[in-house]
Amino acid sequence: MKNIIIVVLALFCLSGAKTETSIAIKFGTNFVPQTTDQGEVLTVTSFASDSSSLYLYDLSDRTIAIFNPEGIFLRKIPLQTIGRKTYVGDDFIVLKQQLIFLNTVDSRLEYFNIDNGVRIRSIECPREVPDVSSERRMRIVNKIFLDNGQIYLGNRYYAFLFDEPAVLAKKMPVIRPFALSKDSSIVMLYNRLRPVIFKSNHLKYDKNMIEYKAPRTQFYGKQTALLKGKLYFCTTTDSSITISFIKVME
Amino acid sequence: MRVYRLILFIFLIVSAGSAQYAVDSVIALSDSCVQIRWTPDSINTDVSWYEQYGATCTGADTIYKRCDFLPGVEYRGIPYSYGGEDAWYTFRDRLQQGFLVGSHSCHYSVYGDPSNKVTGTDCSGFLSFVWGYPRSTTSTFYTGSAFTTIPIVDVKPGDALVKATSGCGYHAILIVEANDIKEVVISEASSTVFGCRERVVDLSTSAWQCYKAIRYPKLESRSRPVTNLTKSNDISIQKINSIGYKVHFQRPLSGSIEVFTIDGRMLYISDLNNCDNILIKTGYTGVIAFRLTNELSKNPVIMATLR
Repeated sequence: MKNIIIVVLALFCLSGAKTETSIAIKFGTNFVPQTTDQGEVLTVTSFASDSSSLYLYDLSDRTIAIFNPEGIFLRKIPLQTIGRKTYVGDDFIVLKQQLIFLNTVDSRLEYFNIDNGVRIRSIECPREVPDVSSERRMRIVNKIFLDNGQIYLGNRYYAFLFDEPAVLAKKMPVIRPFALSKDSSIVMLYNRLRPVIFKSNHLKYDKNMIEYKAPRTQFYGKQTALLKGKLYFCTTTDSSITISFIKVME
Repeated sequence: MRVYRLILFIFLIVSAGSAQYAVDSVIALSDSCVQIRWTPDSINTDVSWYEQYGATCTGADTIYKRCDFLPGVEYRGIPYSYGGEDAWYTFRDRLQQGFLVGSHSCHYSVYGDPSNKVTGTDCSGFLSFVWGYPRSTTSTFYTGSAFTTIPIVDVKPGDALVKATSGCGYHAILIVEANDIKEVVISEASSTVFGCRERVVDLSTSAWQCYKAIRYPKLESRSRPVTNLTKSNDISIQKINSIGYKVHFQRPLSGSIEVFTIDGRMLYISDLNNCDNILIKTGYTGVIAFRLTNELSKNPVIMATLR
């Protein structure tokens, strides 16, 4: 009898560890979508994390929304303008207290102070992954990754190290692109040994998975984040932003 | 004699195979609009102009009564300007002439700009330019009989996506590459990013339900035989090798000739002093544009050949 109870408790704990938690943030107060005259709905477009917080870029008001690890909204920080009204939302990472955005329109990396949104600097970056494919969709750089404290650029097929010191020293960096996984889509490399991959309509991190739900609005950057032993997934519905998360083994 | 300073831009894209002539040209023109590099100065972003004229522009509200760009910052892509239709070379010249860059709802007198000093393009101006079609509105592309409606899953490079209803908004987009409906490369003059851009999109999602896919049948019928000699009334360009060209002039010419990449980097410049031909080596294998400044020609000529 005692053994049965232990087994049941163990199963309960294990199942609880993989229970998905979802937090829906209704549109209307902190997040108000805007619709352009071209009919594009602007709201959150990219998701990232550092060692303590989650960050969502809100294209509607060009701000960074900060959440705690429980998915609770804390505050917003407006980003300093680069022209183009303010900032154009693409993929971004958080590194050394800086928000680093991949500006795919102007082919630049834009650095902002994470505390006040002040623009620190702007560096030109490659527009395409060189020498990899005749198909443009596989060459266009539209993702920024982070691995072991280093910046990688690429897309879902290829990535390459962005040698920031070389660029800052005005030296031509050596670009050696490498292919990402062929049988599934890598959606995130982010300072972890393993990537988050997309397969069979699920986001997988090692043996843990969370169901992918297509957003109702355009995401230009990542929809996933890893923080404090949890895998997070952000999407949009007609009426809200939803952040889901599960515990994972890191 | 009065001296005319006129500019000829000639796209030269050399390759084998003729069937894709028109489509390749469309993509090259799109690339030139998306990739052009430019840096405005304080004249191009003059705040006082927006304060003086912004309020009188058609449809202008408070957020549009100022410039979308900062002086001294390098950008890519022709800026978005509602009612605009500037080709990349027109934009480049107007930038140098001190025109204002992109002002959303202020462009040209028909849209309420009393100064006619704004340069840029809107989405239908962009599509008109790359298709070589007379300047049309998004509604014309949406309803026009000159275009064939096709299933959105059948789009090919050179096709367009358009929407023009009050519920969906108004927009026109060019298909650049469509090997996988979930990863289609498009280009557009976007009011979201205030300029021309290229991006990868998933056309199978609900976000694209409002769009109608159209094809411009005359594009492919404008194919012409393979040739490595490109002619206009004034000059002809002969491809010597992958990086070399010989430019022949109909008559001895004085002025200058410049060669650019499509993002605006200058590869070559030379003065012409009563020349009837000139040999040019660029050291560059991508798409290039020639700019000829002379005293004789009045009408700008744009030609595109094969990659």
